[in-house]
Amino acid sequence: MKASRFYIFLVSFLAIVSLKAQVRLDVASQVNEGRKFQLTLVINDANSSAPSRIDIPNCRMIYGGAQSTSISATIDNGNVRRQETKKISYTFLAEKASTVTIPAITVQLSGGKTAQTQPRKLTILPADQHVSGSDRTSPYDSMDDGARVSPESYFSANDMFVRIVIDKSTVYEQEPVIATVKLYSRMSMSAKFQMLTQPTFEGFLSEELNVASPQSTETYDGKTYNTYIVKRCVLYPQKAGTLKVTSGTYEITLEDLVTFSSGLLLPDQRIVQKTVQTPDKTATLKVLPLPEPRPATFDGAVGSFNATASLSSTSLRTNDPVTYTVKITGTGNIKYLKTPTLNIPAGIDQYTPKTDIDAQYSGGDITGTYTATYTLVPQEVGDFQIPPLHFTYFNPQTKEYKTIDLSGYNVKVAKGSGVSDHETVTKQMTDILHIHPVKMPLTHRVSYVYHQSWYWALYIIATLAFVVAIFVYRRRIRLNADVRGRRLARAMRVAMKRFKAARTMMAENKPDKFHAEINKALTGYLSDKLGIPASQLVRENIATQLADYGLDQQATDNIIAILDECEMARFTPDAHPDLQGLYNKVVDAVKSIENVKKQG
Amino acid sequence: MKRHILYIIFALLATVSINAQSLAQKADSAYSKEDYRLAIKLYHQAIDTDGVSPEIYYNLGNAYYRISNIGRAMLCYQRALNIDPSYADARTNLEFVKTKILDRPEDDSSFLGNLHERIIASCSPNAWAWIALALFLALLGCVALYIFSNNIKARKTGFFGGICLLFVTIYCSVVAFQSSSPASRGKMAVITIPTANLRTEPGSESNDKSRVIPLHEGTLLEITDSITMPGESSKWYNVKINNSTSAWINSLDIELI
Repeated sequence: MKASRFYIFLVSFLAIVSLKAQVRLDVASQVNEGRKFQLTLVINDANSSAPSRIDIPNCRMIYGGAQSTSISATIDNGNVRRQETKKISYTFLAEKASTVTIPAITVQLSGGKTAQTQPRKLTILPADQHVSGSDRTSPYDSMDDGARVSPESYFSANDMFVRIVIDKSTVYEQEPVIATVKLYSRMSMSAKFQMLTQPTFEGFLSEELNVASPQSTETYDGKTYNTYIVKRCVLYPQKAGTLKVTSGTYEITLEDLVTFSSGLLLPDQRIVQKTVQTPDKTATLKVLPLPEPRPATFDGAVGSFNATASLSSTSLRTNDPVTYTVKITGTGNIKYLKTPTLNIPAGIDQYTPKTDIDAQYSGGDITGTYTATYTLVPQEVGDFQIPPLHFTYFNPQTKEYKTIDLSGYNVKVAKGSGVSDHETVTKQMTDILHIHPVKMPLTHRVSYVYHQSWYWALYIIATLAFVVAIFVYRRRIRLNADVRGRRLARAMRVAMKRFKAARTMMAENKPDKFHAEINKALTGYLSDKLGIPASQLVRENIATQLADYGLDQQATDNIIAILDECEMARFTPDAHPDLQGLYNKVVDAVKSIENVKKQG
Repeated sequence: MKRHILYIIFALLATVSINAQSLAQKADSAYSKEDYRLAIKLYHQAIDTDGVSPEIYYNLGNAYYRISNIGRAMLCYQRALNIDPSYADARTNLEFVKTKILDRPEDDSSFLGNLHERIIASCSPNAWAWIALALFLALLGCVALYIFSNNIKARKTGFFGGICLLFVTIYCSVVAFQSSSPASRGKMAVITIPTANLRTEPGSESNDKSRVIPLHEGTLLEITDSITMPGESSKWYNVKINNSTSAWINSLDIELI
């Protein structure tokens, strides 16, 4: 009982077992021999009851059944959720170092139901060597006596310190190491701490990592500590030798819940606080130089890598960009890899490569992918070779350089769109074209056809010829029009004269002459009127021409009949035809033609 | 007696032509033997005594380029192209030599302007003259078709064909005129000294405020004005560098094309 005390590990891992989310057992998984520890049952039911006594092997129950009830209400979307939680605490004294099992505890819930916790393992560690020391005993002794203690006397310097931990002791240049700055405390630490001086990493490229859960418990030097990771960095040594890293100094407020047995029935609990400043700690790292000779293709990659190269297409077109991708995956200084130089042949333009690094810290290593993307634009048609690429890295495990050969590509560039041949020729031209033999004769005044007078004379001649042609044509038209007009005009007059003569013949009773006269009068009139030459005055022609002229079928037939009659009379002189009737018919026929004209 | 005079005339003509051939041919062979300075001298003699041709200027330009006189090379190519805008090899060499010039004047030519230049360069000046004449005759043919034909289709063809041909004929005549008249294409000059200082005001004595624009050998300039400064023997030319900038340059620094 003398050293009976317990720690409430506010920041320690409290093991949690939930049983239908109703009963939970809160207890530390590790305790020290001779220390007090607390076991708490958390029940989501205010009207429950737990056994007043729990038996744990190698442990003695000091006090049991301290109850506290809390009610919490949450309002979610207007619904009030009310939760009542009952906590029942038991205090034990760990008596002997061993691993024991906390038996299942049965809890009586309201409504006659029961709930049971899962059995749990509890490790009782041997008592700390330092605990039995004199500096620690006195304050706790006095505490047992119920006396007031000052924080200064309560906390010891060994309860709180800082460490800087490097995961490797010997590395090669550029080989990444992980450095962790950790605060160690026997007490609970308030999360508030102040960094007074920064950690220093001289001779390193450092890169801070995110720490997901900075708090944990750790056994160091035989004692259990609460730890807090202040900083975790990846360090890339930049030079060989023994390099030092420092942790920096920190100011932390420690606090502890101390239970005083003041003789009353309930123990008196009080929070004791102290602000501590930690001294600067140093760690050293031996950095080995990379072994000589270094391969020519080595460019600073240290680790274990794998590399692949790919070309988006091997059948290319001019002015059509393609991408050449180098992908390096592995563990090591992936973030500080240099972009491999690609020796692209002339005729293909290369743009500044794009690099993409995706590296993560996992399992104490930096693992990831380094991608370099080269954009190539072929400018000329032909066969080209993208030369093989050699990626060399140093493997610190095997202490050897290793080269990965990335295959080259033979590409065929076809003509694409967008570039004219002329431009290509200009680009390819490296010298002027050769001279031409001077053609004779030379002249002091260069003469052009355009400036020759005979050239313009040709224009004038052509124009004149054209004008003359128009003039001649116009004249012919006019003449033609005159002939037709005259003939038209005189047709009737001539016909009338003939008719007069015919009448005379009729009076003199000369029928053959009369017929001849009538025939002449009609054919002459038709010839003039229709513009038919005398040679073409045949029956069929006259009939069609008259029809074209617009004369109706009846009148046409009449005229043809008259012509036929005249013809007949000339060959049969003995007959005595009706001369007056024929004469009238002819006059009617001529009149009918004249009428057509008037209508037209 | 008459016959004798004729012989003498023929003999004289023959000597002249032999002489001319030998000068230009000597220059060509000097060029082939890579004696470019002699070639330049001979070409100049040939030009002075016998006259010019596009080829002789082209060859002279090549010779100047060989002795790294880019300004004069540009000048000679420009002169060759002035005589015959369709001289493709001269244009090719001109474009090539242009890439060696220090100054790169901004390309301020318009699409239509470029097209027009290319059309001019597509045929020789005489070919353009004949094309213009042929088009004129075709135009007359169309008019004749319209006037003389009785067929309505032929008359329509003649009418609309004539209107189209009228514009084409006018354009081709303009092209024929421009390609046959170097003067119509603007007065151009080429800088023949390594670095010429252009000033915003004429006169070498002008104050320091007149901004000095340095331009280098081979740059083509368009001359817009000239002035003779009192007390100076050389003239000053106002030149257009591009569409927005013009400045004054001493006539000693440039050579007119």
